[in-house]
Amino acid sequence: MEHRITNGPSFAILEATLEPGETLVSESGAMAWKDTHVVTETSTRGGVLQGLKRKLLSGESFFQNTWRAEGKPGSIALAPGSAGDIIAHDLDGELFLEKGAFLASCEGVTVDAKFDGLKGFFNEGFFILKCTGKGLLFFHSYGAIEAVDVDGEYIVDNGYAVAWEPSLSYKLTRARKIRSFLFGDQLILRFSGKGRVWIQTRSPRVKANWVHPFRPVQQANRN
Amino acid sequence: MQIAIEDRGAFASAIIQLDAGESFVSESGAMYRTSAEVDVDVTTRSKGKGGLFGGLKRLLGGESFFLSTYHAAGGVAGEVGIAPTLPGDVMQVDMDGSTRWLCAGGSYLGSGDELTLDTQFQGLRGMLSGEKMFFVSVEGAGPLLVSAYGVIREAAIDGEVIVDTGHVVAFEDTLSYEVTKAGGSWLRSFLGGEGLVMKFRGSGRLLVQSHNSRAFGAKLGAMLPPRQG
Repeated sequence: MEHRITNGPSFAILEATLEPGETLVSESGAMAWKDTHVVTETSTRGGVLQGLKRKLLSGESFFQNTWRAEGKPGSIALAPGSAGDIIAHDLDGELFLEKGAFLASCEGVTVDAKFDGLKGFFNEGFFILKCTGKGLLFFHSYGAIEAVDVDGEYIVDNGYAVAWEPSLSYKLTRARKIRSFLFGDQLILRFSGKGRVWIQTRSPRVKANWVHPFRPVQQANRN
Repeated sequence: MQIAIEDRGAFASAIIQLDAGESFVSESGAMYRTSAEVDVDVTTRSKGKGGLFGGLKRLLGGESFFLSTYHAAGGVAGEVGIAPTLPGDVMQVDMDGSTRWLCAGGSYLGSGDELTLDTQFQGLRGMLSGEKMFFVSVEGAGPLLVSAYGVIREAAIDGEVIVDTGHVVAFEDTLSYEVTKAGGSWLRSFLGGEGLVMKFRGSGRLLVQSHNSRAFGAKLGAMLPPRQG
């Protein structure tokens, strides 16, 4: 498979050319355009249970599409839902993804949902995706992506970490050092060990909070 | 202290390398990553004057303007990354202490802790405009970071220029300004959709942004279901 990522970091898309019979798995809804002889089989990869788990636990789509080039090489373009960047990662082993960050992978990579919240943090929905296997894995962000090689300890605001290597241990925690009477409950991801973490420079949740005051206000019920 | 602005353009952010003992201040909530050695303190305090009263004053200014202070504690260096909420650019202004800068509402992103921050509420003039006429006033010598919705363009003013209130990012206070109507009459001005503008006079630096976040918010808000009041 040949691939190129264009228009990053603002509006990245992934264009892949599949050899005859070669497959690419994508999050459903990510296909933007393709050749007619690139065909799909939508499935709950790993069975219905696995699919449901992905959907319920991590907000990732229930269905993943498997794209196959029939007879001759074919092209497909995948576009994430948010404006941002795409990283191609040569997976050999394991990688953790923030929920919603999965875009596509070659077969040989499996994606599973994993709950890693602490007790009491259930509402924050700290579910992540665990990708295992060998092959290319594509993940995406809202905003640009910065790779930080951690050696020791590093802190990322909740919702900004896109992916990280399993050699890092991570913990969702209250910001111990962030003293505040306002933001006592601010959650952060604390990484320790040695390994790489990919961080996005914008947060969809923060953007949603920004939009909220612009919504029209519901009129009182007049009955 | 070294500041690098990464990913210029749509999703810019600033990475500040702090030497041991150094501090940097930003709008609270702007921090998205930091090395573990950095101490983060969220307060309403600005250097000099401030305290709780300062924070309340900022709230009255129509913006919950609280500040985070990042301090490289424990005798080691550290780094902190800060990013604005909206897509757009980040720009560094190196203040030399000779002039004061005024940043429009949400444009202030961060500053070296040697700079003094205060807020200016535009009172009646501001009310009339319907915009958040709330400025963060920055004084002293040191680095100032501003953010924009879209790209930032700098204009060196010598004479007069008119800018829509929603497109002003920051300006030197050597410029005087008045809030006024865009068209020939108030009626024409509002019907034309241009509303209010700022007329700048004098000589100094002015930063403007390509897009108006308030206009974008209004557009999005109208498409969303109503919220509880």
